[in-house]
Amino acid sequence: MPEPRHDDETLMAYVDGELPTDEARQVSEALRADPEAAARVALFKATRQRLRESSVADASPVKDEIVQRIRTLSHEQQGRQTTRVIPFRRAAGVWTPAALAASVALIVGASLGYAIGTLPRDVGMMASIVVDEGWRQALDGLPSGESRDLPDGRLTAVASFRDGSGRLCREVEHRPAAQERTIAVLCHGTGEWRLRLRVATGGSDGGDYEAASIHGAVDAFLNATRAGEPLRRDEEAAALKALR
Amino acid sequence: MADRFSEDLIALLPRLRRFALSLCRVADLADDLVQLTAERALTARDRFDPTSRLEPWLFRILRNAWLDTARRRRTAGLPVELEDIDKADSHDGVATVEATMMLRSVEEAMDALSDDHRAVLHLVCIEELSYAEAAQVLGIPDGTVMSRLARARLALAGQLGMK
Repeated sequence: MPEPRHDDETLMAYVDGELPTDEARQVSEALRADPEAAARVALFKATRQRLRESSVADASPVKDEIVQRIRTLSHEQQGRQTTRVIPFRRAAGVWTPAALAASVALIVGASLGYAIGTLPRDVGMMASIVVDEGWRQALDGLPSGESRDLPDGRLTAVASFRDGSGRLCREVEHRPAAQERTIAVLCHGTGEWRLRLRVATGGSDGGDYEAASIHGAVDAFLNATRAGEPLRRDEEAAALKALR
Repeated sequence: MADRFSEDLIALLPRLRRFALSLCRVADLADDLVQLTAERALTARDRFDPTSRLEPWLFRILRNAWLDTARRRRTAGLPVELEDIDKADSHDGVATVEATMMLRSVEEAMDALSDDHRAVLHLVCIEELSYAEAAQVLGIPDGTVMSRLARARLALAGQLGMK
């Protein structure tokens, strides 16, 4: 009785050393009598070989700045048992203390897997965001992906989504000055936009490498608030229209 | 006074960057992903099982970080990242003709594959992860790794004109 033909996946697993010993032996024997299968095996071998010899497999050195930063983080982490409280500063009149406490608690929650100690040093030390008429109008109508110049800097809408309570939230980027960048999340409740998160960085000390930390903080916040997927453009337009 | 975990992590950074580059193909974004991965890994180190290998665990964090940033870019994208993406788009006529007359490089062939195919090829053929480890990184069953990897290998062979 002829051996059953081996399928591509089995032949590939044979090449990759992923078959149990007796099955591998079986394939090995079958190959002698099956030139077609042997050609497939050669092809799977060759693809792996070509990849390993290609530039895709070249070493990808990491910039010293990044390595240094990771080292520093690691050392800081070693000497710290409890996470530092996020140095948010309350922007007068923008949110209530209760809301502040709630969002800080969410961010500091240990289950988050994001140590606040790794945030950029400048977090919260920037000029406050004041949701004035210019901001309100931009938040009410500016589609994500577009920017508007306001008296206190350029505002870019990044994305809109709904938080775990169904509130419409907008993630925006604010550039009060060329070297300063703030990512903020504001959610709409009881008729007004309230600041829920603000992560800021100055351009002077960390430069480009703080970007990842900002994203980490925003990601952590989105997870903590059970934020939904970003709304599509049409969904966003409809949600904004419904506010008016 | 570096600890073992951090030293292992730092030693693996170049491989993380290589994988990041394979996923996103933009150097600056790869740097961001590597840093974000390392930060998340340090924060979550208590959840790492020291009896298992560090590589798959880190690759998984990196891929999730990539998915997170991709999710964020889908609506509009962080402007800072979009500005950074200046992929070469300067094919002049002569160069294009020459390129088509030559066999494609492996790198180009990889670029032509889908993200899913490229990721599984990278993990198994370049990083030499086992199928089970690749499945763990990608969050898919072992069987799916096998079928996807076989299709990806054949697609790559097709791109390279191998028979």
